[in-house]
Amino acid sequence: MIDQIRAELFKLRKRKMTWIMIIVLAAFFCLIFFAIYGITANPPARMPHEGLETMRNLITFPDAFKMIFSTAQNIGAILLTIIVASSVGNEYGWGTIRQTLIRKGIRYQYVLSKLVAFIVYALIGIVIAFIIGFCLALLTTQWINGALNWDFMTVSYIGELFTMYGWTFYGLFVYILLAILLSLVGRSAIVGIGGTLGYYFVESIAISIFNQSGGWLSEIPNYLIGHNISAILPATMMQGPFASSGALPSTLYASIVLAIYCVVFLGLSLYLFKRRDVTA
Amino acid sequence: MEKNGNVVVRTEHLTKHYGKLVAVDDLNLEVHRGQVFGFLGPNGSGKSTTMCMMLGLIAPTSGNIEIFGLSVKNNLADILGKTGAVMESPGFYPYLSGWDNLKVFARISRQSTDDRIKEVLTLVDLADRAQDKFSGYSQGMKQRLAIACALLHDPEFIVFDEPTSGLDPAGMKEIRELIIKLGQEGKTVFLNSHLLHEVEQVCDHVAIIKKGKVIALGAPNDLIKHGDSVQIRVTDIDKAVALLNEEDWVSSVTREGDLLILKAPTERTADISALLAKNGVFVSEMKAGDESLESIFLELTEEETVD
Repeated sequence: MIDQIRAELFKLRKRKMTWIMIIVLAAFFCLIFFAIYGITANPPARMPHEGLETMRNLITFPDAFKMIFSTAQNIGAILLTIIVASSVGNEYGWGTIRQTLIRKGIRYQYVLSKLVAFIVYALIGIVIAFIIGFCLALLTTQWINGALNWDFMTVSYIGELFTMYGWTFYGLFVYILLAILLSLVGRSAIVGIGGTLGYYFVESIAISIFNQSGGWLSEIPNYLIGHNISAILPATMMQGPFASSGALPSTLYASIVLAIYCVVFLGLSLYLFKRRDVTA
Repeated sequence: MEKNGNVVVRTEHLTKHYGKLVAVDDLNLEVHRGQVFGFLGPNGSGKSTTMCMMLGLIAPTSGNIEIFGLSVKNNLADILGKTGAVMESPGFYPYLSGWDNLKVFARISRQSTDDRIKEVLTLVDLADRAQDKFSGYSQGMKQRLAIACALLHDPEFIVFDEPTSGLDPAGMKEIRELIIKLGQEGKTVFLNSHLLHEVEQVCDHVAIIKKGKVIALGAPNDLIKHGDSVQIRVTDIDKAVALLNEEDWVSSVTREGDLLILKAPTERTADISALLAKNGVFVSEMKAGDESLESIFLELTEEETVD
């Protein structure tokens, strides 16, 4: 199994797309930080002072950390979906799935080794996002505040950063599993990417609609992935499709709901992959 | 452990249904150690399905497959550790070089070193292009890489599915020689090929399959009917056909251009010559011959179609 994981990591490392996604991640971070800085440096005349202050806080320490993890989660979910679904789905198109299975044959190991490789990739990706965001926030904090003040950086705050890191990964993990499942079901990268991103965006619209409704409809978001990810993520203005206007469930509740999704997605992936003939 | 040391592959009542379609129907086969076993059949006859079931890619609807005396269903990893396979369309990562592709699969099987990768690449004459990306390989190079990949862990049993597909004549000859060499080294080879001439040259045992059933099985020499074919060239081909068709001992007369192929005992060549000469038809060429495996194959599969 270890060797299979190493083989999966080797494939990811050698693939151009992996590095392109990291470049896109870096570019997105630069765009966000510099765009916000541009607005705060030359604010529109009618912009209220509170709004301007909130925007400044987003790109200056300590609030910049929330911004970094939130952005890593939002853009990371999209980029990881593309990497995961194309890695799993293209194995069918290239015929490499047969080549792999006729060497080992243990199907659950095939799925799990891929999953572990994606987990490692996601964990490294969040660290890279953190480093990029940290460097950008150093600049913007310096430009806006003139000096850096690290008084907030206590042991407990560092602990909080690790917690944010963990929650960010947890939110991404659900989408890794969904992308694996859909790519295996559709035996193609397109189904995996289209299905997962389709769900990601449609769900965010649905959550907004349900939150506007009353009665039992307003309860539905409590069972959806995006709403529960919003509950575990650090809140910022930049929460893209995950932004939920309704009341969020508790962290414990959200963790349990997301864990159930993870178990179902992984269980279905393993079951389907074991049962189905591989003819591609 | 192996129940019977001599039998490498045994299928018992192997059946695969796809809905109402029966792809493999109650297939019983035995492949013995050191045999180069040819598996022949027209398109859609169930050859690839059978091979995929042997390799654990497709689950049988019923029946069993044992390889090295172990059930494929319960011992697939152990079996694949001693089995290599070259599938019809070789699957590799297009963004990796030939070397890196082999490295990936070597890691998965855990039994191959860099030296072994070098060795198999040299064996298939790809060592010079090992660092080139797979996407830039010609069809022949892809096929050779697939063979190198199948041999990486020095398997005892090797399955080939159309191994010479896409190769030029020189490449085909090399692969044929490689398969013969593998057989001589004591490896067991299961060869699926449409090239009957190739199977005839390479295999010491053959099974012909049609609609998922084995319709002929044995050594090519045993399958070929000896001494019942006569080829002649004559001055008046239409008259010769009419005359020969009237004789009881001529079972069939087939025209191939200006050549007539008779199914008749070769000891009656003198009678053929006399009959035609008596009726003013003169023989310019006459040759007694055996039927090729190809004609046996066509005969068997066509007969099945007529039925």
